[in-house]
Amino acid sequence: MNTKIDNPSSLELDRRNFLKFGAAAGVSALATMQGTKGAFAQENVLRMLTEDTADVEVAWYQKVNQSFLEAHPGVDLQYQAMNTEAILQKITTGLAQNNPPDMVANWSQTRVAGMANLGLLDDMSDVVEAIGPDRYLSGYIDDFTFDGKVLGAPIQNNTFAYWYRTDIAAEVGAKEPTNWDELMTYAQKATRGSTYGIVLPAGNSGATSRKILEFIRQNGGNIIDEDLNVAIDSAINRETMAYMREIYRYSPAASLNYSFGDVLTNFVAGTAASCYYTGRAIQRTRDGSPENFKNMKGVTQPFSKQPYTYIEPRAAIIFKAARNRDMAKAWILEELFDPAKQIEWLLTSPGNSFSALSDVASDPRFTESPLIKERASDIEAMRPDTAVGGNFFRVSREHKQNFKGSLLDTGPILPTMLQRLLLDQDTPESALAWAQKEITDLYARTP
Amino acid sequence: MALTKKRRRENRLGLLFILPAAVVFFVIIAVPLFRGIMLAFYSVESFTLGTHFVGLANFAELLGDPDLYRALFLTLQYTGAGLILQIVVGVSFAMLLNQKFYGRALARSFATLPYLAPVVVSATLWKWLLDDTYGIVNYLLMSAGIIQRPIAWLADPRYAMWSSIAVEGWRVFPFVVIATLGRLQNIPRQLYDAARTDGASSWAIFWDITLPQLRSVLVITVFLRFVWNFNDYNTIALLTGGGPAGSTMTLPLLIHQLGFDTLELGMAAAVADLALVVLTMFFILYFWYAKPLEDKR
Repeated sequence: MNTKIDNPSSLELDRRNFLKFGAAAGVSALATMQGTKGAFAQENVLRMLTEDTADVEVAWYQKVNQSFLEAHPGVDLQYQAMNTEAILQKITTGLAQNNPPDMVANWSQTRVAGMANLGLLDDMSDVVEAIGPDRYLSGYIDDFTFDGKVLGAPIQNNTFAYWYRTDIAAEVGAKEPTNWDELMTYAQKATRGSTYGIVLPAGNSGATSRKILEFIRQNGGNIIDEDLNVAIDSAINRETMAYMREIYRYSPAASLNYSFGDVLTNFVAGTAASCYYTGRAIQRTRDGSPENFKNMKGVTQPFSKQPYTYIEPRAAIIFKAARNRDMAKAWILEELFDPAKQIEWLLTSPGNSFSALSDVASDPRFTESPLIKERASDIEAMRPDTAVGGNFFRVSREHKQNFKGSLLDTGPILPTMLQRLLLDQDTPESALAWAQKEITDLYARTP
Repeated sequence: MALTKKRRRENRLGLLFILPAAVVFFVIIAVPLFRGIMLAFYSVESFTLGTHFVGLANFAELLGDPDLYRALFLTLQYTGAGLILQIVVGVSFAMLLNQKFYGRALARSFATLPYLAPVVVSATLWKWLLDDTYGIVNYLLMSAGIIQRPIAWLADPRYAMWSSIAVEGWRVFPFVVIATLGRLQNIPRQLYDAARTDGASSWAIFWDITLPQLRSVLVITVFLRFVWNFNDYNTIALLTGGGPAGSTMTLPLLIHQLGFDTLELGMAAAVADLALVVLTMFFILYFWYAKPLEDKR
């Protein structure tokens, strides 16, 4: 006889025991969850994001993180390198849960400004004080000062040079491009066989938006004027759009899908005879195509009416809602602003970034490093302290700060406008009128 | 009476048993779903989540926007054409791999590789293969004299969506192969032997034996692939980012663009709600159609 089935009391007892066990297990689980939550909130967890995703940069982060962990036993350092869009997504969802990452190691001014404007960032005055304000090159601290508070610890800056092939210029009889006419001539003449004269981005990315800003400013126009009015639909910009439509004829058809990486790949591979890029082009071309490396030259961007390059200072930021701000500050000071380590980081891609600190910028370990020395004239063309330019947050020194600038940087309006123009779906007039309306509507909708 | 008491106790115990699952369902699915639906009625600041009730304004604006209808059309194109491609290629490969031939085990392993590779790897690989300047696809087509000039497969609005459909088809057809092959191996041989004895053609055998036997697997496969294709974000985002000029801007990409690029979470939620309505309509139609098939089994 199976008493456990036939005897109700026995069954009752088993159930009761089971429920007791279940209750105990539930309480234990809850206690564990509480414990986990507590551990998560403890001060030894440091969550850091960076958009420095190149292999050499990741290797640098891993190295300094190891050194940080050795100096701070018991710290749980959660480091993630990802692209800009992924970081934005991570921050958005983190903030929505009131649980953002502690810090972003190297974040652009336009995005820092957008977040500063919403009161999301922690005051970094003490960090900058510890670094030494006197060590900073002119303007950097101001770039990250909002309402009198320093909300980012400025680290570096970079600009975009125009890279072209001297061997091809000689072969086709084209001059070094210094203005738009010469640029068009070079692009036209260098387009032959399977080689395009230039490669330009027109995909749905910030690379395209920045390129449009550069062209518009180089011709004396505006997307947003000095007083922050939407001013893209103008006669001067119609000229610029007509010029852009023309010069894109000498860029691969796939440009409509290109972002930064594709541009550089084409230039390094030699399928395009020129491009706009930061100093990262130096190392990538040297490693990927030593023959082309010998014949490449970086110059300031050719312009029509005024010089202009996209300049975006970058800073380390900490979120106000971060759970471990002190540890984040310690990491920034000990790793990012240690001169030797920072130089090592700058040299992960020589000429791509320039330090915000005067002593680091002039440190012989940086200035005398082989590639920096070998490509001195290229480096000169990209020096942020002498370059004329700006970004979507601060288009120029005459422009007011535009805290909605990031909506144009990463948003779809400018790339879509260009794509419609290049695909002949729009004329310069209708493309600009469309963009004017879209930007005006977007700005009106956005707080 | 005692039995009723016992039944009540059992019912209570039953409720206790399903309570954890119900709580998990409520917390993980019901609450976020409800919150997501409600977000559409607010203007939401993405980073601070500051909200302002706007009623149906987000829907009104969206329904007057041609971009929404284009995104819906493109989503249905991507879903429908992708589904047909995946099922046809998947079933064909499964039938091929069900034949006896030397190296069959190896071929079966290779056939699953595209599905095992991370989507970012597959998409990047295809982006390179399809490039008009250095892509091997154009090189081969030009070498064979099929085309005279390179085609920007992912940058020309005429081809971008079809190229994305083809890449996604290549990536996920092994899922259909795996699902179908398992069923093919269990179809009784006697059915085929009897049909051949009766002089049935290969086509008749496929149509009258194989396909009906696969129906139960295909019902669920079509259902899953429809939902996954409809909601697919990764492949198109990595291949084209929704461009050029919006020619591959499906609903998931539009939702992402509104939520994370232009920081309009309320609008993004409104698009997501509309997508949910479309999917729900599909579920209803699908189960209305699939139920009689199941009943016949």
